[in-house]
Amino acid sequence: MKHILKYLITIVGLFAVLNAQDKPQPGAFSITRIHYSGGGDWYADPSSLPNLLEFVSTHTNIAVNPVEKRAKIGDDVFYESPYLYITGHGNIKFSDKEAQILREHLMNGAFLHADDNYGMDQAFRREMKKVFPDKDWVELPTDHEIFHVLFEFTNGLPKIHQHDNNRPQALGLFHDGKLVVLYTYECDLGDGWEDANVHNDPHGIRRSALEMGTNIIVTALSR
Amino acid sequence: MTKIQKFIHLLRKQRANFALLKGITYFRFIFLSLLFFFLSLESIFYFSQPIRENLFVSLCCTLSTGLLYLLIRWFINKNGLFNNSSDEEIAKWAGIKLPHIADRLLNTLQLEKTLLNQQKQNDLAQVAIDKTNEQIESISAKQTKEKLSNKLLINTGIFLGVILVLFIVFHNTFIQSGYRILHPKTEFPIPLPFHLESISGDINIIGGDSASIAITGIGDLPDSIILNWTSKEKQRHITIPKKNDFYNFTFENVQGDTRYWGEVVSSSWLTPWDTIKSTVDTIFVTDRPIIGNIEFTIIPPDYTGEDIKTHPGNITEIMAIEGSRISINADANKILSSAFIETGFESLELTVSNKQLNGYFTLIKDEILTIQCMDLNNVVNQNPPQYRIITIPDSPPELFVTSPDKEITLDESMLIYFNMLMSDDYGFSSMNIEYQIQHPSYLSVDTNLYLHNIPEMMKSARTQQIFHSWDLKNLRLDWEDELHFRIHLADNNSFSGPSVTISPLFIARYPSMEDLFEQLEEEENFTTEETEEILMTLEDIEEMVEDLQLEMLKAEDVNWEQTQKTQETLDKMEDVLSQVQQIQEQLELISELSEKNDLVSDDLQEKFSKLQEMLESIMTPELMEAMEKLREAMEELDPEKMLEALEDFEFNIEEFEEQLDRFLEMFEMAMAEQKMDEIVKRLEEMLEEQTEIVDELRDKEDSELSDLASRERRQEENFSNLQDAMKDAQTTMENVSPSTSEKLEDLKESKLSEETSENLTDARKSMQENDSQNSEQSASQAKENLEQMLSQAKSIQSAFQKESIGEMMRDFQKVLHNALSISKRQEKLKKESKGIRANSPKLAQTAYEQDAIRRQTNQLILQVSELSKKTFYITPDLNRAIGGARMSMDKSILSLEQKKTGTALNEQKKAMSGINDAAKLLLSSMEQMQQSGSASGFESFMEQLGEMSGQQQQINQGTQQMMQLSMMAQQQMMQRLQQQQQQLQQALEEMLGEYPSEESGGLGKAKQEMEEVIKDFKRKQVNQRTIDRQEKILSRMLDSQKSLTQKDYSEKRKSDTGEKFIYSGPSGLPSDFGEREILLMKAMEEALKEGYSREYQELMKIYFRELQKHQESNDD
Repeated sequence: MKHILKYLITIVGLFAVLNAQDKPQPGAFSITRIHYSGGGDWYADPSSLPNLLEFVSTHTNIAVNPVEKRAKIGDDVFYESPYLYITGHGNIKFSDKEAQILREHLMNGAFLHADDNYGMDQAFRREMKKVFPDKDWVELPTDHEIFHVLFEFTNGLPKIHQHDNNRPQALGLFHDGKLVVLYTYECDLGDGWEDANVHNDPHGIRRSALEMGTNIIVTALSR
Repeated sequence: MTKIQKFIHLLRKQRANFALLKGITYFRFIFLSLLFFFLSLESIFYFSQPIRENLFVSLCCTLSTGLLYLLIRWFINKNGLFNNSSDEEIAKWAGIKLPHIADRLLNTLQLEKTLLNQQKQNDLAQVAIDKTNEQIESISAKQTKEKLSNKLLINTGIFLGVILVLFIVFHNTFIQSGYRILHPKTEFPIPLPFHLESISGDINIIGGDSASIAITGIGDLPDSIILNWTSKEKQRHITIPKKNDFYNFTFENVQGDTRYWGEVVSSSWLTPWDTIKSTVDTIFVTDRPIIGNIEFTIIPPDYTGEDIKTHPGNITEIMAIEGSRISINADANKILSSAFIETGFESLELTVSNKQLNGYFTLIKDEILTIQCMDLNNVVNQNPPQYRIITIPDSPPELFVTSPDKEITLDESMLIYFNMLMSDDYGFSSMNIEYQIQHPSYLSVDTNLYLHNIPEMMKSARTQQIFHSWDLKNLRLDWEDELHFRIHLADNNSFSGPSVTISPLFIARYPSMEDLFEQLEEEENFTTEETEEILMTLEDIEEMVEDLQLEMLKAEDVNWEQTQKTQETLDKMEDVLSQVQQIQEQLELISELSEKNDLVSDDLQEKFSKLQEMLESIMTPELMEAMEKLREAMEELDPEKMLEALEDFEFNIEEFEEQLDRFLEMFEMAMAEQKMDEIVKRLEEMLEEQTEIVDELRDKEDSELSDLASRERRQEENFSNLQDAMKDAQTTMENVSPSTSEKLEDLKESKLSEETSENLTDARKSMQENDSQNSEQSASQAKENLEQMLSQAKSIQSAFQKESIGEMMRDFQKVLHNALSISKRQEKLKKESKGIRANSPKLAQTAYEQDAIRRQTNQLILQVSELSKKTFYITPDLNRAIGGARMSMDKSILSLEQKKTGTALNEQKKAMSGINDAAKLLLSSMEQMQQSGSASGFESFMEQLGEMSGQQQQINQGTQQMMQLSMMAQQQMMQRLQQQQQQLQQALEEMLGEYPSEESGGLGKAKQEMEEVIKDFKRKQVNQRTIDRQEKILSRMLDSQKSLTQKDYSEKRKSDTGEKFIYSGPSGLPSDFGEREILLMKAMEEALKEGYSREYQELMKIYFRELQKHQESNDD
């Protein structure tokens, strides 16, 4: 009897521990990937965000929900998400209503990181003009806190993948002096966050991408 | 006493007398001089009593001292006392006086004294003495008597004469002055030439008043006198002239008691008087009340939210906001009875308490204000403090409307998005859109003005940016209606009433179906024209390339001309590519327009999307590479490389042309479909509207039909336009489907169409006549007719689609037949080639046959290419399969030529397999096409895949949520999720059965992953790995949706690691952070707070307004 009891207690305990490990903590930081219309592959780089979240969890004190959320603009999940992520290779389309919702959400404190996976640039800039017609893209200089808040990037945004072989740019949109949208262009951080065997990038490149991603998250949280 | 002694005594006496006389003479001289001097001085200066006393005493002393001195001297000299005038001295003097005696007398005297002393007789001495005695006896008194010199006598005489003359001339003066000196203790008034007398005397005035005084005099008055006065311990003077024997002066603004007198100061020192003064009189001043310590408190109106300010009384200009309450507090120097404020318009009483006064007034306009008060003696303050009050008006609010544009076209969403900037001094009270609906001219006019509130406006934020979306669905706008609106922005001025700024007029037009389709057609025509132009340009480019190729074949070097031609070719190609991009944008516009207004069916919308993707894929990486290669070869001036590059380029141009041709054909077909869609869509809209009209007719009274009459009128118009559209569609369909064109014409000309038109007109007329019964009848009939027309139109559309499918099926069958034939021949050849040896004579025959099959395959490729211009169902997989088969055939032939029979046989197998795969794909495409009912879309496949992706996403989310539940809840949910996953897997299997081509791709792998996930659910071992698998499943499904147009080789999917770049961007953030407009507004707000004058503030507002307009025009 005693042995059976011990066995049961052990099993239950192990299960609880395993469950606890898999359960996300309430109130933990999470990233929401935006499911947009237009035909572009909004779901690209599926292993990128989980890897980034894991890196943030192990290299900072931020409590992290390791599972990315996905939402369309206007969903309940969208409204609950203060940190949004967009990527893709193709067309992006926001309806007028979506543009308004996104604008209001960002003006109310949310943050959007858009990472050009190569090919979404034209569409993204066009659609963002609907969201913020009165704002211009501003390139973040190397002395901006985003490049130094946790990990040092003295040369600015790291170049992860070749794309058109232009220099990488971290472009921002500001509202009342606060960065609300960050667009990483000619960089491809998302690819850098992917599992190592996806693109077979050198370890240093992946590490740079993850560190830069962590910087972005920390900057967004501390605005 | 001896004779000599007697003689000497006599002489002494004479001498003493003479000395006395002389002394008296001199003393007289001196004394009289002194006397007359004093007399003169006294006559001039009129000495005061003490001085005169001193003079008198001086004179007396002088006289007495002089006389006494003389007498004493005479006595002493006469008696020879104190060795004065001793015998010897006299004897000596006599000797000088009497030269015949000389010093005998002295000697004799000395002898006498010696003898006397010796008491001896000396005869000689006696003889001398006797002789001397004899001599002296002979001397008469006259001989020894002295006389005063003539000079002295003359001088004395002159002196006395002068004295006498002076005395005679000024006898009065000297007598008076002598009298005054002789009576030193008596005061004698100085004789003045005139007297001054103050006539005004003491005066009593009130502080600040003027006081006039007058002084007159008796005597020889001077031309002017000096008026002296003292006030507050300060003495001042002024010279005032004589006028009519009066000296007048007015003291102005006398504040304190003032003592005054007139005086004349002697101008000569020879006058006995220094000054002549009048009596000292006093001007007694009674103080006026004076107001001091003035302080203003400015209480701005509540609505401004401004702070209360105090304003010191020493600043005479007060600026305050209109409507401010200004309170005054002040003190006076004495107790007051009353006080009031005087403006140019009214008088406001202030509250008085002892010496304090206070009160308030409300500022309405600019004014000059004075504060007046009165003391208990009814004396008012002089020079009451004056202040200039300047009103700061509440300026009307500033409004900049960034969007919408002044004229806009509404779409299906019926939303207007506003982006507005506004600012005001103190805030806002309301923001409304005032609008009016203008109907087309054939309808009645609606003159009503309506208001729509903008709730996003924050009343207290003085500068703000507003985003507002206005939903117009409730306005029941209809086709061709125009919404005329202006934005009214009112500030929060609750004092004089809100100032309202009104925006310029905006017009939003609700386009008719006709307008929209017209616009769509315009865009489409443009696209077609552009594409045709590109095709023509491509022909030119091909020609140029051919020419260049020929030249390169002959040339050893690349000359300048050839380089220029190459460059020209490349430039033309660049132009073509940018034109293609323009067409892409045009397509995007078409797609947007049609989607926004729901103008076309989902099928057609999908087609537009596919056409866009087709265009995107036309510009292949290979073409870009070919162009780059050509450019490089041109730079290197290498003819061989140039030739190679030109060949490559030519090949890619051909491909490009082919794809563009395909695009054009598909586009034209889509346009034809669109025409059909338009008819159906219009009929649907009309039917919907007619149904609403009929429903509303039932509830309305006779008198309320005018609104419905307008709508029915609109229906009439629309029906007329529909007839035109049908004509248009009929014309377009003539080339595509003559039967459809005929049916459309029949429908247009049918009795049904005519009746529908009549019914609509009758209905409208009855409504106008308020005849509800007939209206209902006619309207219902019209509705039924429209239903019938719609049904007929749909069946024409359906028939057209079926016809297209039928045609396509026939084409597919031809291709399939060809493919099967090739497969058969290849199989036969394979059998015949089995076991063939390298040295077999059949090798040549086999190779020949294989070549024939290859030629047939080339034809198949051409057929497939032609078919691909009509349908999207020709997939890259199919092309790959056929292409692979062809390549295998090439290799087989080569191997046969090289007598490699084994290799040749293998290649034959591959070729056959490739052709068989192609046949299967063709079959599958045919099935899909039939099932979808559309000749050219992927709808069913995409739809199914889309649905499944959605389901998978839900399962994934469910799994993630499940992890957060308790154990018991997890168990239940796991079971449910397992079931869902299993169902999805089954559905996927079924779909893959219908589309076997996808089995080998991502969907096949997705199916495998699903199996693993289901196993995890069954084992109740759901963890992160499970979730990752589910994500992969979703990704594969979503990828597969794109796989039909996915390129095998696309740079975009390639991920080469990037090289490091040195940062060369800006060194800092711009000061406006890219937020242009709101910062401009805020800059204006900050500038206005600087306290500049109102005029300058207005100039600043104009400046910022112009900056805003300039920015807006730059953005445009």
